[in-house]
Amino acid sequence: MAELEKESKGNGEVIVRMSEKEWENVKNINVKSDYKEGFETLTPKEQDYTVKHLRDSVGIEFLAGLIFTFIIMVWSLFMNAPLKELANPADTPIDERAPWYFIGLQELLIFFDPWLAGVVLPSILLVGLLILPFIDPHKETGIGRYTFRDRPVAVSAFGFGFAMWYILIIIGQFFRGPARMFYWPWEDKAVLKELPVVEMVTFPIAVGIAFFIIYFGVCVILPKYIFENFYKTLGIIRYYIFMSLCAIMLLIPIKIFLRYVFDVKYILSLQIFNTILNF
Amino acid sequence: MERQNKEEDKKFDIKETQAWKAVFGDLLFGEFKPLSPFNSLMRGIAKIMQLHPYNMSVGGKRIILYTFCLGGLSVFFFTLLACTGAFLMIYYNPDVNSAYANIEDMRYIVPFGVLIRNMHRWTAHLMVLFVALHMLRVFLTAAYKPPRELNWIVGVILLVMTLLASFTGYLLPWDQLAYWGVTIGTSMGENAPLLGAKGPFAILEHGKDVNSILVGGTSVGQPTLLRFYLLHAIAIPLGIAGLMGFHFWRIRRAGGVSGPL
Repeated sequence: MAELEKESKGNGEVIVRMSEKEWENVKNINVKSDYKEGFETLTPKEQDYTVKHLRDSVGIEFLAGLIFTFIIMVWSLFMNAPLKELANPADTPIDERAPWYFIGLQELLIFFDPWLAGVVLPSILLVGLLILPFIDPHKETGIGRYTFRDRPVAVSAFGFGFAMWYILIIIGQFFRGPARMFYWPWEDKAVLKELPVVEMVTFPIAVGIAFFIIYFGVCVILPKYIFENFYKTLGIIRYYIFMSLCAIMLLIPIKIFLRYVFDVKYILSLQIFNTILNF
Repeated sequence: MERQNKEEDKKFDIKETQAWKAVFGDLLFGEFKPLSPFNSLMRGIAKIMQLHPYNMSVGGKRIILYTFCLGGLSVFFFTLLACTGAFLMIYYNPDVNSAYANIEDMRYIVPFGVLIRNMHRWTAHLMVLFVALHMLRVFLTAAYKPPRELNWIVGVILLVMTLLASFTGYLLPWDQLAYWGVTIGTSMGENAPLLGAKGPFAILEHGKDVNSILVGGTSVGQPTLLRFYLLHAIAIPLGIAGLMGFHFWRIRRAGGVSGPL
């Protein structure tokens, strides 16, 4: 479209490039008084604009709607929506679970305290999504096409977060049995697993603080000197926001790794007044 | 050259058979024919809804391989949910003593009740999935970049509202699944820093914190059911519909979908 606007003469006329055959197709149907007859003959390479319109948009959407109506009807005929026994506040089920789209957060509850897993991390995620158009320094790269090569950092960061969210959901939905214990698909979920009796480690405060200082140093400050061009294109504010968000996102798999491999309960446990903050 | 062309013409082409044309012919993939009833219907819909530009300039590839209809299908699912939901409202009473019985009636007594309930449930799952996929598509094609930043923000809000709509609906059957699922979900509010009773630096008491606004008390009960019902059936759908209108209007203002142009 941009190319078309360039050709506009500024008196309300719009010049649309198309081949003669397409013009024959279109002129009697779509072209109202706003469009004057007469197309510019261009070099053959530039004549690749076609004016397909509703068949390619509304028509396809209509068809997609029909197909999904059919799928939903068949699905609904053969599979009943779940309904368990009447709610009983006195009877906590052993396998209580959130709806699937929130099960990723429930999965995080295993590794983080509720205020982090349920409130702070989703809030950071949401804020990250909201400010995303303003962090991206390349305002024109890759618009309107699927490309990895032109914007590798953006696509990798977003893809990592998106994939992690859904991997957590899949693990929470299909690999968790009673009492949120991990079950492989071939294991019987009716068999209760015993809670492993492992003494979990919490790092001393000094180690915890050192860990976070080193971690954020490596993740946020070090790349500034290694990838100087990257730092310059982003600018100081965007750079720190972006790298902090990435560092926080990476912390989730790191904590999961530390929990499973080294039985780390908390990396840092701080007591401020009478509140204990566990990370 | 001419001979070769003629020979090619004689070859059997399934697209030339009457059966193919009857099913897929002019309506979908054939030559553009302005007067076919399908096209005029579509043009009418587009004119009324103003969802798409009247004329669209599309490059070589098909737009379906660009958007995959994810956004359009989300809208479609929303409409389907509104229709089935309106039907379900006739037979549902948000009262802890009768809600479960209403759902059982729907399953066993109300004609087509089970079908409509199933459709409502499965379509809700599909909508949550498709809204998220639509976000992925928009990100991968960089459609959040200027001039479409505001629309991205509106889209994120719509995603959150979709999740909330689904979550509030989760409680309504008032079965064990609903009760404990929502108990887990709302207990997150209790743990909010400052504003939750159990969170760090809590300044509000239990029963007066941010969680109690949502639950309407200290635990999930009759007030929660009523609140979730009103949110699910009135507030959130109206919000979603309004924001959707704004979302589409912004797309038109930005000159249609971001590509391929």
